[in-house]
Amino acid sequence: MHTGAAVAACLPKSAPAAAPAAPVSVARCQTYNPSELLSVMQKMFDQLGGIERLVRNKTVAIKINLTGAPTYRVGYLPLEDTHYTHPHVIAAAANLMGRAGARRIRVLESPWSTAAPIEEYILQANWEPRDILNAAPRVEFENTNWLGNGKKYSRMIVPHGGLMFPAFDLNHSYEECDVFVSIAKMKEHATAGITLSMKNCFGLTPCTIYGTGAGVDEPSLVPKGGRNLIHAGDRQPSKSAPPEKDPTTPREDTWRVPRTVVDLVSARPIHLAIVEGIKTMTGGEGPWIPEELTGVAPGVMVAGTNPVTTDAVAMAVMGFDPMADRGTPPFESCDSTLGLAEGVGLGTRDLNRIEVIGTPIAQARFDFASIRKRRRNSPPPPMGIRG
Amino acid sequence: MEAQWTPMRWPNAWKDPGALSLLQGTAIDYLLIGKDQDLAPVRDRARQMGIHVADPEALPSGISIIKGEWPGVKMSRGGGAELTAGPTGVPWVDSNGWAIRLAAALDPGAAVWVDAPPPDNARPSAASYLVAMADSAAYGGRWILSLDNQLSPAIAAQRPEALAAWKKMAAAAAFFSAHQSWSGYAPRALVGVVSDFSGPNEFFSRELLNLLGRAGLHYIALPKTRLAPDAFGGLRALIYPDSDAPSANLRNHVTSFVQAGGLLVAAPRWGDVPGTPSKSGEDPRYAIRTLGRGRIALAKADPDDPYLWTNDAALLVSHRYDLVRFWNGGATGSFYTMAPEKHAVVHLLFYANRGPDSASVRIAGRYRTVTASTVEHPQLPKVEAEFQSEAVEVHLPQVPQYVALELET
Repeated sequence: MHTGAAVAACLPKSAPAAAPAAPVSVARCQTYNPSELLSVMQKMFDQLGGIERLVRNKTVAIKINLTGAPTYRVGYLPLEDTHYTHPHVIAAAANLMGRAGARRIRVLESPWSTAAPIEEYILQANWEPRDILNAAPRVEFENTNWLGNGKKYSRMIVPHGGLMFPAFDLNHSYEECDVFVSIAKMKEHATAGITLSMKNCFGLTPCTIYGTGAGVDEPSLVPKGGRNLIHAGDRQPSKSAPPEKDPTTPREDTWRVPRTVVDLVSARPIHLAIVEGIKTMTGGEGPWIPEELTGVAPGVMVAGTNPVTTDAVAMAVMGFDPMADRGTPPFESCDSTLGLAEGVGLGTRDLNRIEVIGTPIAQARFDFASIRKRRRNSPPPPMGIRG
Repeated sequence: MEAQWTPMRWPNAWKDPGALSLLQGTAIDYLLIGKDQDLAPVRDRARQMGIHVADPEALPSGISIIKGEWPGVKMSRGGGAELTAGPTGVPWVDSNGWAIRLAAALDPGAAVWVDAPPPDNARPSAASYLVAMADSAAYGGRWILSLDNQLSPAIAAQRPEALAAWKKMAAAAAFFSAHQSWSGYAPRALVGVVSDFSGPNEFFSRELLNLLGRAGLHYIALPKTRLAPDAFGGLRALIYPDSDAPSANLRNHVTSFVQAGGLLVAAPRWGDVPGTPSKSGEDPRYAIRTLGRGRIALAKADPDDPYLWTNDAALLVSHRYDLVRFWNGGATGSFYTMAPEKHAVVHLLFYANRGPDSASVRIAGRYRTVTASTVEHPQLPKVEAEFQSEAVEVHLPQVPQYVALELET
């Protein structure tokens, strides 16, 4: 064991002492081979105090990341090698949780503009749903972009009152669970700078209420389009759900998205944050981002029981300063989700206060920051039609 | 299905028979020339050149004419630059493929020509003309080559850019003519739509074909009055959308299909269905029953929204069995055909103004080789294939709007 102090020594800022700290496990993992994944993840969970302690006899909800339509890739690369949480990581997590006694495991996502079952969505990405469903007893998927299998939406209150929203109406699965896990892909993000375990939760919001095609008074029956409502603030959610607190605040996505994310992870606390960076991409969160996009293989995983400390360590692994605020990479033009989360007391982003277990950050680092700098100092390559 | 001719609508303003020299060396071999007496010399010269000539209003038998749409990505009805979304979430596309397949099903021996001239005052690009030609040819038909009212005089005036566009059209016509045997290949499909496609069922059943194609669900049209005993071979599902009950023969035929493992999606007028309620849970719009090794999804309400039925059918059948999957293709279409000798041709259509630069396509089936061709390249270079156990995934370089994949088992 060691701390992130060696890295933090280079960093100029300090964090408020009030925000809680929690250990974070970092591990090298070179492949998606199930045997390697199971071994690495088991060790990481053990380093965090054991997965059994967290999930035995519990209903576990796992939010994965399937951003964008399954019909878009970065070049010819499989989606899971660039911007989707890899199915083997999801299956390994479910397997370990099942073996640790989880009573039920729900794998959740709000896929792009559809109420179709997740199984049907991922088939279009060339995945085999049974790889995940059979990873442990009682594993199921639910599409949370709409009412789904619930009778009504669950009102989830933001305990600190909310930076943007006082509460959210979400799919029942986010309330009907004992343990909430966020499995994210380690990526940059065009709007929020980075997308890790917290930003992954932006997708908790059902587009039937928070999406472009949301009903005005009541939720629409099925989702349509993205979440421009939150991004741009051009309208309010369906009236059945709590509106944003102050409609005079900036209508800028770089202001609104980080705050909404903090409200969401406050309303639906994360018990286990896993950031998967075995293979991923640089340049943004998906193939539609107009930057030079490259598939990369950092070969790293980060996990912790506090999403802020986990994301802070993941940022450091990416070569970014987790204490960075607006104006500093990767937050050149947006607010830091980590800073805002720390501000409301969710956790510290100060590496001096975070115990890093396993592989030291310096040894795990894959320098997204330098790649970003080089990329932004050179003209973008010619880009053809991506559909 | 026959596609032995390459038709063109002769511009009425081209009264000089000398303009026929444009056709020399091209595949265009059937001219539709108006009745105008001034065009008589053109008609005569064309016949002397061995070109078939017909009055557009009085075609000989053996040809089915479809009044089609100008194919391509549809812009918003307000005339703005916004795209209209379709069932796949990508922009809406007008295609004549469904109408060609229906015409072929209703009259299997006929050649199918699509009459879809460029919209008034439109100036389609050469790429847009390629889409018009390929959208018909891919599905076994032929687009009646029709020039827009700006290109036509420009060609007659021998303007270089117009002649360049003409050469591209001629090249496309030559490509499809050289592969006219493809039109006779049997379509490979997952779903059969069983209907009379007429009367009170006309709109719904035909729009269903259109939308199934847009959703990438490969189908065949099965006119219910002329079903062959093996009509359901190779299919995973049948859709019966009609508002009248099936005949006893049809019911028996379909029931056998279900008992052997197929899926029937039917309108309520299908009537009582045997079997037992499915254990897989209730569907909000269908009562699902199991029968033998198959399932019946009986709609709870009369069909009124083909869009909804299309999406429901795609999920009931399942994307697991997709015959063709695209990535980075944008607004796409495909038609999968099987030749008699373990040979398949899959037609790929990309309806945007420019072809994709890094599209991938997965073709279901066990194949050993794959070659890709376009109008310009008989064998497209830099095509990579990953052969999987039940499919082949093809990585395409920058391509135009039409690509043909030839696969060998």
